[in-house]
Amino acid sequence: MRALIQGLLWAGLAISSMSIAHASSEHAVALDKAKISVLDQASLQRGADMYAQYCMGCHSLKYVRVNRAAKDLGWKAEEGVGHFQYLRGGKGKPTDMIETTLNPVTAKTAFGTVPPDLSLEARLRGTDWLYTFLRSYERTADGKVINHLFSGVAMPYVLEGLQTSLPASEFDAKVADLVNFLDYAAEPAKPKRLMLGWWVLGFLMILVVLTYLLKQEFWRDVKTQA
Amino acid sequence: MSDNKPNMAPNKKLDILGWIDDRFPLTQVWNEHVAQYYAPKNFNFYYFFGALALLVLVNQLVTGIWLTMSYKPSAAEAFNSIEYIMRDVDWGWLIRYMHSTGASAFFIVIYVHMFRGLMYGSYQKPRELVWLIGMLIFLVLMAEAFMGYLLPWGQMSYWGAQVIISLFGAIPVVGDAMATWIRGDFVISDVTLNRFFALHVIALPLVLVVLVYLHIVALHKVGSNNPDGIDIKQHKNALGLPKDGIPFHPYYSIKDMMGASVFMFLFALVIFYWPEGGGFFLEAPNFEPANPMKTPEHIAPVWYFTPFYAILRAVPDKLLGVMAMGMSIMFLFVLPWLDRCRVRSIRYRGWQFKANLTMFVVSFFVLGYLGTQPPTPVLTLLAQVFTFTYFSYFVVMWLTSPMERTKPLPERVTA
Repeated sequence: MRALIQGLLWAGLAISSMSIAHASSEHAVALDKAKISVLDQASLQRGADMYAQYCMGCHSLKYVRVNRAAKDLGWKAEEGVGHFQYLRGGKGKPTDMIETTLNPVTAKTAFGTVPPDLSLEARLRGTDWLYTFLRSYERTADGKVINHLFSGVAMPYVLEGLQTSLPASEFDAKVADLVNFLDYAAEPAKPKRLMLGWWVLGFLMILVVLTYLLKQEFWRDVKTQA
Repeated sequence: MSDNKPNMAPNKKLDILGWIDDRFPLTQVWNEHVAQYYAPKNFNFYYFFGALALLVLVNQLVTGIWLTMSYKPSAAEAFNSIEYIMRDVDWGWLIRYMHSTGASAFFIVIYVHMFRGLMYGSYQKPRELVWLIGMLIFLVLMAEAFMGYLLPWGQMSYWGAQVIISLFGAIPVVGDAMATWIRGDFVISDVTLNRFFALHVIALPLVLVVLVYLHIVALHKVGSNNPDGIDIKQHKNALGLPKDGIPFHPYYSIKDMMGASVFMFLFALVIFYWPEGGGFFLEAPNFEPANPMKTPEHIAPVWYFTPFYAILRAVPDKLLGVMAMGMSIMFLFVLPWLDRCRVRSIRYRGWQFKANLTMFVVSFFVLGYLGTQPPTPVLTLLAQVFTFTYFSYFVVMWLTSPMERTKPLPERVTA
């Protein structure tokens, strides 16, 4: 026990020495916190529809299969086709990946770059970054579009219609749903991971108690040994 | 079963174990290394970490085998195959997180294990070979982790490997040729990925397992040190057994089961609720496929390499920096001969030793932090200061250890 406390003191020393070093480095722009949860299925469904409506025209989710996403979001596979493949005029299959119909050559001409695949964007940038980014667009007095987080961004002000017509809180909620769906898309196992974890931890907690009692039982004779 | 073998002493026990023992020293090995291996009874918290290192090694080997069943070592397919494992392979995400978290856990466990050795003088005579083999394990483990990190073929995998391998270019005359030879190409490419895969899954794990075996054999020859740093063989009972020793099994095997359970709890906590480890266990830029045409703004190695990386960057000259980085590890090898004090444990050593070790730990952590940050003039200066204090540990140890005022050692181990 004494060694454990000592160990914590050493760790405290280590952490404080790192934070002293940290104090002398600079900080980046603060991001707004996206209050989302992949366990909120209704939010994921709304976010998926947001994605299909506003993002899928240009951005693929090439690692996300329609039927898998539909199942995880509480839809039937055929419903998933309706939600994700309507751009294909109802010709999509449940086993298709969620892919855009945008031609990369056209994209290059129109935007100067090919819109990136967003399968892992939430893990690459972080959900807070996405949440802040999508809410940082602004049309200036002279009609130019700027983004306060990402200067010189090639992506147009896609959510302008929503942002200008909705109250700020409703718009933020819609963006949060979208970011939530992207968080799911970046790691489809996440809801399962979060739910399963408690059972595993509970089991291991019992194991800790049992092995502790077993150790105490065996070590009784060591304590009394001369 | 008959035991009428003319040229063999008949075994009294006519059971399977007896049959095996006639042909293989199973009971003898079990007794020598487990049931009759007498370890000091005063092991504390820090003594869990040797067994835990073994546990993590097994975790890495087993999850690694399962990952190779779905992973594709090719520049075109590697990144996709990881996503395939994460999304489509049954329990693939769990196996992958166990392996990626296991890599970081391995270094946490090994660093505590080494720190224990520094604190209680476990490297001192007669355990120099235990320490040297352990240092070799550490070296091979770093190579193993470095090569494994290339395999996901993300941006940080690619550029991290690019930066580290280009360091060989600093060596005069043969440097560039050597870097090309290691890569098998002029840049990191499919060829590099394939050979790193071969080394990561076959060559280095084999070396690791052999070294771990030698580490344990060497340890069992000289016996374990303990928090008091005194020799328990000085006091033996009528049976010739150390009075302060207890058989590894069942006492420490059961105690280690408890330690393993606590460890697995913490390990599961990370896997299920913090798999990215705050961007330290899985770095965000690695969720973007490797792109040889696009250099990331900031390239940082994984956290367990950052103290050494900070030392490398602290030195203005590239060749000298590489040498300093190499020396920062090489000095640890010769520690048994730098420490000239014959008292082992921090409990009975002088203030110089305590202050020196504290400074070393602070230096290690500050350098570790600095290695994660983009360099600025202030941070580089800090890195230089702490590189100096890192190395001063070894110099101060050599200078002050013979004249430390140590406390008297106890006759028997203390509780």
